[in-house]
Amino acid sequence: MHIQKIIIAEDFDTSNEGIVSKLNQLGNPEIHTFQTCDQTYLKIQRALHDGNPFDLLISDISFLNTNAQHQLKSGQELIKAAKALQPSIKTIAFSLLNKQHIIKELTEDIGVDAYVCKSMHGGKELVKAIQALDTEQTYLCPIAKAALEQRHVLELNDYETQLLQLLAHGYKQSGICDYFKAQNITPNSRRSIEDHLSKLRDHFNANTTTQLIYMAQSLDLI
Amino acid sequence: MKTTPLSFLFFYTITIIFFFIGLKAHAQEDSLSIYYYRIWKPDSIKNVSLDKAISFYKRKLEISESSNDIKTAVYDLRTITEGYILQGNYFYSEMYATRALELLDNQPLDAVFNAEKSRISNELGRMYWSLDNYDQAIKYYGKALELAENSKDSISCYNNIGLAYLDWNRFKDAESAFNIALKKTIILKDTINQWIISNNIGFIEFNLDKSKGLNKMIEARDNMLRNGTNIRDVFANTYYLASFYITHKNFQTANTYISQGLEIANSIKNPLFKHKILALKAQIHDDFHMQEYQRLNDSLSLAEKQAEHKYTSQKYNYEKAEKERSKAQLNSTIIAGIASIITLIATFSFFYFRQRNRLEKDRERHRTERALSKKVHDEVGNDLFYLMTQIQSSPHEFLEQNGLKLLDGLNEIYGKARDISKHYTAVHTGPNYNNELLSLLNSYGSDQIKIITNKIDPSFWETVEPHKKENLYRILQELLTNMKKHSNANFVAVTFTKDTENIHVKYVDNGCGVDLKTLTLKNGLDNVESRMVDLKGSITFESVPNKGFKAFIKLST
Repeated sequence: MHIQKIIIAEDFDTSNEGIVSKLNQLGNPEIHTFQTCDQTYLKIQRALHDGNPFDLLISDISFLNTNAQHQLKSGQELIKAAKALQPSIKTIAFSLLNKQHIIKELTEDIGVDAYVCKSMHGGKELVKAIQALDTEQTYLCPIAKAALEQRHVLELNDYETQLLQLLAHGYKQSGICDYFKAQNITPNSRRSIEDHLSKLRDHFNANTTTQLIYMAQSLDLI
Repeated sequence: MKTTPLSFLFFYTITIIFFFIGLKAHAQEDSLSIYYYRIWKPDSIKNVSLDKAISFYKRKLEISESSNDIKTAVYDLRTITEGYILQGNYFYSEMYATRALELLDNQPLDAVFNAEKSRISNELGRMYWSLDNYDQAIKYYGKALELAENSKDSISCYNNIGLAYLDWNRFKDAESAFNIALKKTIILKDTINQWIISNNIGFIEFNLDKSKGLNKMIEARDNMLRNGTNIRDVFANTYYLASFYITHKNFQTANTYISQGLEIANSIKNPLFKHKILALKAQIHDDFHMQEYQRLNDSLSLAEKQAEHKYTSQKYNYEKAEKERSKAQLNSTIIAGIASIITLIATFSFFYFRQRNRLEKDRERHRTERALSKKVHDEVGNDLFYLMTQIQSSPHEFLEQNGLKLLDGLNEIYGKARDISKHYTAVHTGPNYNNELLSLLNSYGSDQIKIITNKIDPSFWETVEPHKKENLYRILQELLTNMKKHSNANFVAVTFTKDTENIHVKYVDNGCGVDLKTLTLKNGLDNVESRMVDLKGSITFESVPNKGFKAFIKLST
């Protein structure tokens, strides 16, 4: 395994112990734990300066013990700073939080290599994440993945709403196709309209278009 | 050793000057002259209380007012004023003087009324003087002077002005006032007042130049004694002379005067006089302790006097608006009054609303705490307890497959604890607000519960205030919690629309619904309606059993 030197930022000792014992299963890497972002950052800096840099940073996201004197107050800030300091370092966000926008921010904007939610399988997932990073892959634990995809919520856009409205007004698919073309609304091919409808039927658990319209109407969506 | 001028001495001098005026005019009218003497000649009668005398004149005032006898009423008012001044009750003396002036203002021009006005102004001057407000005192003496009916009255006005300047340590001004008074006494051949004033001039000269004034004071003394001047004025002269000799270290002569002064004080049974003359005696004895005592005594009584003055001045200032009779001053006083009332109201409202706000916050906090503790107990505590009893009854079953069942049970509880923490963490009301809402909706969805919303523009929430966003978030959270717990819904639609003024949020589910007539809102929804009113918005519910549940929220942008 390439990852041999790990630094952990985690404000609760008990969590630290759990993580360390789990990580020791990975062939006894060298593990350092710190309870604030600032300490962790200084240590990364020091190790880099000494020519013996860390391979991996595992960081929590919210730190209870931060105060005004701390420069880095959250996992996001620490990961960003560590990446700027040492671009080769791998990073894992390890948190209770499973909010979409936080996961999105970390994976898309900050470029964290893995996001693992603390849960019953958290330790196991962390090991999976490290193994993925070791082979230059990224990793999202199932909880984070579900949160990021927001599978349970459907955002109807104007196009889809209009589609539903036209159906409710008795338009056939061919009629909708013509109407969209006349109004210069895209996509307006028969195929793509059929795709959209199929997706909507799926989400509304509707077997037929009539059922779909009934559902949409009963939910006051159209 | 320096002697300071003492207003208490002059206080009486003036009373006496006016005493003659009052006596001539009213002595015969007053059937119960004992009260008259108690107020206007306090040394002559000691066995009648001042309170009794004052209340007698108050009753007398009622009679004169009801019979419309203005002259007597004004005189009664002035007598009451004087009584209160003697008592040191400046607030009431002020009040009665004001009443007298108001009464006089409504009368036609008349020499007698004018004279009364002059005398009342003089009383007011004395009152201010007693409060050490020399500036105001001199102003009122000046008014009294303008209105003075005759030269005799104006003599006493000048004398009073001089005495006020003396106490103010403005000896030059005092001297010129006394000199005018003296000239008038000479013209009028008023020998008694001539020597009283001459005595004062002597004391002024001594104050201006320690070596001077003696001849004038001795000359005044001889003449005062010969003319049978009031014993109080003789006392003032005795006091002045004793001070002079003490300053010149002629303690033997000083002692002679002090003994005479003591005799006078004893004869009129006046403890104030006695105290003052003994204070001079203390200065003679070169005893360190005695002087220390004197110094302490002086500073203590000064402090006491100042404290008292502060109090009386405040009491007095309260009624100030009534006193200032000139229009411009009246207006400014009214404005000041209104301003202070506004300030007062503002202060009160500030504290009232702050208090109310605090109470409201406290209530809100307690509500949150109660909800939190209930949740922890119901959801985490109960489940843990249930799990424990299950393990006790069949431990082996829980430990099979590396404790899989145990772990599952614990994970479920862990999930609940996490949800509780999520519920109470802050809501991002910034640009991420829409994502927060989507996360919220998503977290209540599942494979069985589909949630649908409409895609909105990133700028949709920009114009909405943060606290409104947070409240909306909490309300939706409550609606969704209720949905998950009670409704058995499998579809929920939450849509956001906007017009020029309002944001409309529509919540619809296809659950079992409720009968709104029997609905008692629980779990945070109980105060949602009032919270929406506070936010200048509204929320209405619509539901029919088994036909789903709808909520319409309106929020101003």
